Amino acid sequence: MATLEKDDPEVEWIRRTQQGDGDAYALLVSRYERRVFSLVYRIMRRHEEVEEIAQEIFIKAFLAVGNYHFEAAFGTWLMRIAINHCYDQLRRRRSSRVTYFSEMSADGEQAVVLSAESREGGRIQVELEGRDLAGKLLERASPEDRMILTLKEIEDLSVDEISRLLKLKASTVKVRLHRARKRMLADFRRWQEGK
Amino acid sequence: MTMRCYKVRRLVTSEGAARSPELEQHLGRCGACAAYARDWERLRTSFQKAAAEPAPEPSFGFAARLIRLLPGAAAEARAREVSVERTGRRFVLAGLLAAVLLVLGLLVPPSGPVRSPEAAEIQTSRVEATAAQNYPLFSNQAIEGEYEFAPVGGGH
Repeated sequence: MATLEKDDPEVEWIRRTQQGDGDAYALLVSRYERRVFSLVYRIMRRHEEVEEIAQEIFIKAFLAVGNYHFEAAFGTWLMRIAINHCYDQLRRRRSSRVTYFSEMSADGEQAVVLSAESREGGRIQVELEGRDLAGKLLERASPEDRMILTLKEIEDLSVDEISRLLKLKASTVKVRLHRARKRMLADFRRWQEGK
Repeated sequence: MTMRCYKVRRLVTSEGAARSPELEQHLGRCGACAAYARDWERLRTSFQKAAAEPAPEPSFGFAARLIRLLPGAAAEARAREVSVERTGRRFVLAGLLAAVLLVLGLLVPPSGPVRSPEAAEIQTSRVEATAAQNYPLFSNQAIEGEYEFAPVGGGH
């Protein structure tokens, strides 16, 4: 139990949750819900899906909490479940790839509506591209690249933190990160040439 | 010593790599690497903008609603486990049955009207006779009657 303080009430909440106490789990959910929501949103990038996916993650964690042996921090363990769940969702989504109007941010929707109505649509479109560039490129990337780039570039985690979350060696994370960046940059340049 | 382009590009995209004077010098000289560095900078800025975008907040009562779902989810998971266990058990039983049948098939002695060597000979001669009837060209009679063969090894 190296990562948890002995007087942290979280230990007690986890133990009670392992005995099936829903009220104790509610306390854990309240502590981590924002972190899970943020991670899910950064990876999936769809507002309307976040709550549903977060709910599935917390249910999965509750069902698996018996297998938690206090080796890593509860937060790390939970984030690992969240990452794996999002990864599965991305792979599923990739097999039925369609760009939905609902995928866009509120600004994006507004810009599309305006571009249809206004002669200045082109200028607005360019602005939108600048803002949503990372999102668009991540949407086109493979689930593996998308995951590691999101954790590094958007969640701003260190290589060590990513290696703990993905259960990979730090050197492997560095290599994968370098390749993912290279591929994304190549895609970005292709996209620029095609404009 | 001059830096190679691939090394420069690796350094440009690697995190926290302070740009050495050597790297800056290369970027000043090599247009392709300078464009690469510019594109990476643009991409990084875009990532930073995406990171600054606020994530949606959990709706009011999210935890309470979730807790109400837990008994149902646990029961569903248990039912799924039981179903997987049952299916697995069926597969194991079917495999065992197949293995027993295979062993029995191998152990049964080769006897009976079809399996004995005499019966096999009778069967073969029957098949040959039928073939000769249906395809006279391959019967000895047909060959002897219709074709004349030159004596082996001799000329005229």
